[in-house]
Amino acid sequence: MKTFLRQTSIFFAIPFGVLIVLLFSLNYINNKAMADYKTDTGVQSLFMGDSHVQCAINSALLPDAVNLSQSSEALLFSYFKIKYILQNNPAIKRIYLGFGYHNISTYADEFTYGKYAYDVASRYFFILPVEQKKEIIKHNLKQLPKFLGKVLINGATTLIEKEENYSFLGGYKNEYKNLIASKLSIDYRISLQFYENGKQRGFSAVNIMYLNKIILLCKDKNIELVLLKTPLHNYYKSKIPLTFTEKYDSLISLNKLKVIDFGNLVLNDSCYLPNGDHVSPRGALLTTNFFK
Amino acid sequence: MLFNSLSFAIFLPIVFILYWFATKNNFKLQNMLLLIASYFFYACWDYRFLFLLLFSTLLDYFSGIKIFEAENKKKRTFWLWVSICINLGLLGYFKYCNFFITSFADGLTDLGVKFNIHTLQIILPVGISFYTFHGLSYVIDIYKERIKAENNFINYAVFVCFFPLLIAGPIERATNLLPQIVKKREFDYSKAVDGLRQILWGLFKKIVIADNCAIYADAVFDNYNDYSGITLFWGVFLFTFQIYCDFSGYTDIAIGTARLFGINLLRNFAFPYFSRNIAEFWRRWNITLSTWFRDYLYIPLGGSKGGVWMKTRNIFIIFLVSGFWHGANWTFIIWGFINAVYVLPSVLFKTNRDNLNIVAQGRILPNLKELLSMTFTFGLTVFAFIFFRSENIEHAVRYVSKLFSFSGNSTAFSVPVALVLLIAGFIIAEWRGREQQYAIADVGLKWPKIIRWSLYYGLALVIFYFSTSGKQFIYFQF
Repeated sequence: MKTFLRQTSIFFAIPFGVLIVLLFSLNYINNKAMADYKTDTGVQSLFMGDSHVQCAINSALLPDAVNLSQSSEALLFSYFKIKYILQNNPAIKRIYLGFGYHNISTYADEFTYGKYAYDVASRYFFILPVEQKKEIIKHNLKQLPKFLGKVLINGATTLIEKEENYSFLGGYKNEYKNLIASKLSIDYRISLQFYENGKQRGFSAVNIMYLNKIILLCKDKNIELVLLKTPLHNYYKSKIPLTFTEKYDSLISLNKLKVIDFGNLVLNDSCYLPNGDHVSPRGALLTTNFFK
Repeated sequence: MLFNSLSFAIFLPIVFILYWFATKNNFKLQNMLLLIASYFFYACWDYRFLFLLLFSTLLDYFSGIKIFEAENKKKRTFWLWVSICINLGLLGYFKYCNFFITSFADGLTDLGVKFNIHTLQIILPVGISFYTFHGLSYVIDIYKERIKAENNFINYAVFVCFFPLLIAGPIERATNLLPQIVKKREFDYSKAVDGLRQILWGLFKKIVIADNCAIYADAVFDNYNDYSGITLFWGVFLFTFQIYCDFSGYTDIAIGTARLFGINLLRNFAFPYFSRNIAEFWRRWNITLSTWFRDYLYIPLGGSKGGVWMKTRNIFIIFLVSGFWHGANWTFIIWGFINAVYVLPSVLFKTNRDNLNIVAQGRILPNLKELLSMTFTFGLTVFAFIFFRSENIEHAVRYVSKLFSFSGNSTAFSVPVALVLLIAGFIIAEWRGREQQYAIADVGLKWPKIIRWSLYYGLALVIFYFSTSGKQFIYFQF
């Protein structure tokens, strides 16, 4: 019996020890990589947000800007990224923050504490403060092995990948070709973002709180914050529940925020991806040109 | 509390340590601990149904004693029927009530009679089909004088509620399990290590193969109209591996867990997809359920004795009931019917006892005849599983017609190469280990520890890497 307990304890202690060592090492390496991150010389504007901005702004065409948006990036993660970047990049004067109607839906919570968290939150895990780490682990307890696996894999990108491929960093990406908006996909998209089990979703308290934190951070650092509403297909716009558009407008007016609204830009179907709330490479070119 | 959950990973070591240390090897204390742990385990699902479980346990405990102590056959028969009627009554109410109401209403509607249907809001108590069958086999065995009644309630309750088998089997027999419960158990190092190895293999089957196949099988079955015939074939092929790895993975974990406590449970799967005919398949698939129906239904009905009519009748009864046991849906009944049709010729031509040995025993590869017969049997099984998986008969029929239509919109659907490779690797592992109790039972036993442990760590890493979001075991719903 004692032999069994000793052997099983050793058996489980070995991977546990390796895991702890890996987590601490990667935590140090990722935090250092984030803290050391420097934008190219001359960059004064930062594009932040989720896949909407990631697909829409090709910062390679903008000499004074860099796009660090990433798919499914909730404002919580954007906040900590911005905090790090501003510390080491005093040349940044302006932040364009992607902010659409879906950002205030509880749909966004799925990426921070919900069912997609293991995939999304794991990318940013190491650059979050301890309290946030605890919170995210707490919400991923049911899928902890998978979550930790993803954390390690994503954390290792700092060691084995080039800077632009670091799991937390992001950048312009739009490889979808020959696709056009489709009503079926838009309907599905709307049902995903604004409804759950047939009922309308509520507002994301976490994302709204982190929007306010970003506003305060920018004020504190004397950075101009401009919200960016990326182009939306007319059919998509017509399907957004009224409560969301009202809440969105109230948040903007309450905080007296500057907004660049591409939402009213009329583009043809080929400028959109099938889901109607992302632009295609053609749409990206038109959107990016606005900033030239 | 799922076997593949963190809570079980905490629960099991606590019970294990208390079992071997706090009880000081006193088997009465050990049984008491197992019972409390089992009730706690069950209460994690729904504590309200603990009362039903307790009632069912008490019913069979007292019925068993009454049958055993009865002075004449009339009284024995009376108590046997009390137990059977109440057990089946509870099972019927909780599991089949709504099915009968809706089927009755559908029948009237077909006859042109309008009927306002009101189904009852009945929750299916998890494990009811399994613990009911435990209890029934116990009282029937006492009635048949195969065993004596157990006078100690704790011992009997552990037999019914032992947590590894409480939710989804294997369906134990009092003849196998009770003698192990009523005697002192010594810790056996090699048995415990083997148990851990079987748990690891069970987790691999469930988390890596079953759960990942489920993602694609569900997508195909849910949207079968969008896909071409070849994709529908993929869908049911993946479901065939899903159902096998889900259920046999569960029983591997259950058997392995029981071995940690010094208890040997009955084997439930013996590499069924390497069967050379359907009769062999049914000797290797869900063995404890098949033998339960064989011993308590098929043989009392006359078995394969008698004329063609009687054999045919018995085969259809056993398979239809077995199908119905799986769930209150016509799809399961049709699944049972198809299997009866498959098995019947071998019973009528007396070939059902062929292939009692292990396929290609002592050889690395099967010969051509074995390969073809295994492929053919597997194909028949895959086809029958369309009905098992479908939501209703219409769904199944449409799926089958679309499967063989070779027309319609061919929507691109790709199964990840990684999953195909995993399944291929799994088949090779199963084939290599087909003479063992489970596929990796003998792997690395003589290797140096560092290499053997590396294999286990490798398996664990694959499990972590491919884990999805903790799907429930399919057989919990039965």
